[in-house]
Amino acid sequence: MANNNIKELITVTTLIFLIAPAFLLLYIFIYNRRKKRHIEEKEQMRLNFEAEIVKTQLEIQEQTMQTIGADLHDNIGQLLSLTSLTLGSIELDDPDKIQEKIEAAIDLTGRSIKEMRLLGKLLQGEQLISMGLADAIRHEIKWVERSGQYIVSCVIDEEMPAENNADKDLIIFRILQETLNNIIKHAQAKHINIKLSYAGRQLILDINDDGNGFNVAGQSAGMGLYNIQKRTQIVGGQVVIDSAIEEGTRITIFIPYP
Amino acid sequence: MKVLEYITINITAETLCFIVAIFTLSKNTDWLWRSSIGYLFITCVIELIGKYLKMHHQPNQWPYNALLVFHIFYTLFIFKHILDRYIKSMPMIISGLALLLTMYAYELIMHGFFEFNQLTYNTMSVFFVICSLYYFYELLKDSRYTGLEFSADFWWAAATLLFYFGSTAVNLFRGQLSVKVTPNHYLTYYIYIVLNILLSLGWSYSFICRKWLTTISKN
Repeated sequence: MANNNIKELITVTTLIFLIAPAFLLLYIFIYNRRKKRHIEEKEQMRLNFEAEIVKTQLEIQEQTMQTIGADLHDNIGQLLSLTSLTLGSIELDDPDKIQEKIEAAIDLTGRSIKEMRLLGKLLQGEQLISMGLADAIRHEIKWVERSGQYIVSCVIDEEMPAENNADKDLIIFRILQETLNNIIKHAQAKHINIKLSYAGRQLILDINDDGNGFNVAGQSAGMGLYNIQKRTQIVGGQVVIDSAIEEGTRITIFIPYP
Repeated sequence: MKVLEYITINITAETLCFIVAIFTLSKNTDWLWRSSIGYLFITCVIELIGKYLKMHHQPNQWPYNALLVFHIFYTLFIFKHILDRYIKSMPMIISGLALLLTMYAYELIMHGFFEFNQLTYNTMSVFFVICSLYYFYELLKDSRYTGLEFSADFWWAAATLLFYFGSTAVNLFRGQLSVKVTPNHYLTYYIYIVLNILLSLGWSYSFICRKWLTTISKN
């Protein structure tokens, strides 16, 4: 047989025998690369999620501090100043008015103490999230009602899942806080209705108010709405915003849980 | 010169693989990988004995019968080592060992030591192909990422698959491939040369990766 024919025959036969395992090895290489990319993407998503959780915790803490600061300045500071003025204005020569002024000072001091206790509970409020989302929401609502400007109704489903997800609880709580902030800043509402329910392995948070409303299509998302949408997406959820001018606003959030 | 006649492509490929094994695995902490040196040494010696007998027109199949036992043990225990990362492979390896040794004993009884145990060799080839494919299946299924470019296990299994798959295919089509392409050799002889080169290259690279990985771990 001519040399070239021999070489050709050997080459072709060997190649035929090796095609199957060669393709298999190629497939394994390609699949392995995809696996690497998938693992990297998953890791990046995990890091993004953790960063978001840390950011959410900081925002909750910041909000708490701001509220405490405002309350100290507006309420407690005023009360203690009045107490000081009242005690300072006591004239020992006028015994009739002494009793009155002392009673007024005691009343003012009592109110200061009450405000301080409420502030203490607010600080503890952050820890309530770890004890349960429902309790944390009730606590937050009490604080909103204190101002006397809003009538807040809160309905929480009794059938909540026994197992909780601390990270999602934090995000849901923050979404509630941001929504309430938006209502307080922009809506000029009188009534706020909050409903937390659980159905089809989803937690549903529904917040509606009877405020000014806004044009959802025309409104370029401010930071508040943007944060709500972004956070909901991070936990694999969905936001539905329903609003119209002078017809109030309804925000419904669906989050897979736990 | 008669010495030059011993320097065939097969013997050269195996000797080079043996030298690479000495340089890369002699200080390896894992005795299984170190055993590659012993196994390749035995392979080279058997090849030389086989060549010597052939040159003196003596039957030369019996040394390969002896080599077959080392083949079975070495390859199965390396497979055990690489599969242990994913599954408890001992039952599979012991079953394979039992099957192959039983067939080996059966063939020895049937035709003696001086005729090559072809059936055992064919069965062994098929079994090793299955082990290789099973290793790749577990590798794909595993959620952990393994960098294949420098994975000693992967390249060892890949070379083994190429060799034994080709070898099984040759055995299946032996009738059609028994074509004399040169005065002294059939087509199958040349195919085996190519397969042997691929095996030696693959295993050599695997040993180098093993050495490199061990060096990085120490650093």
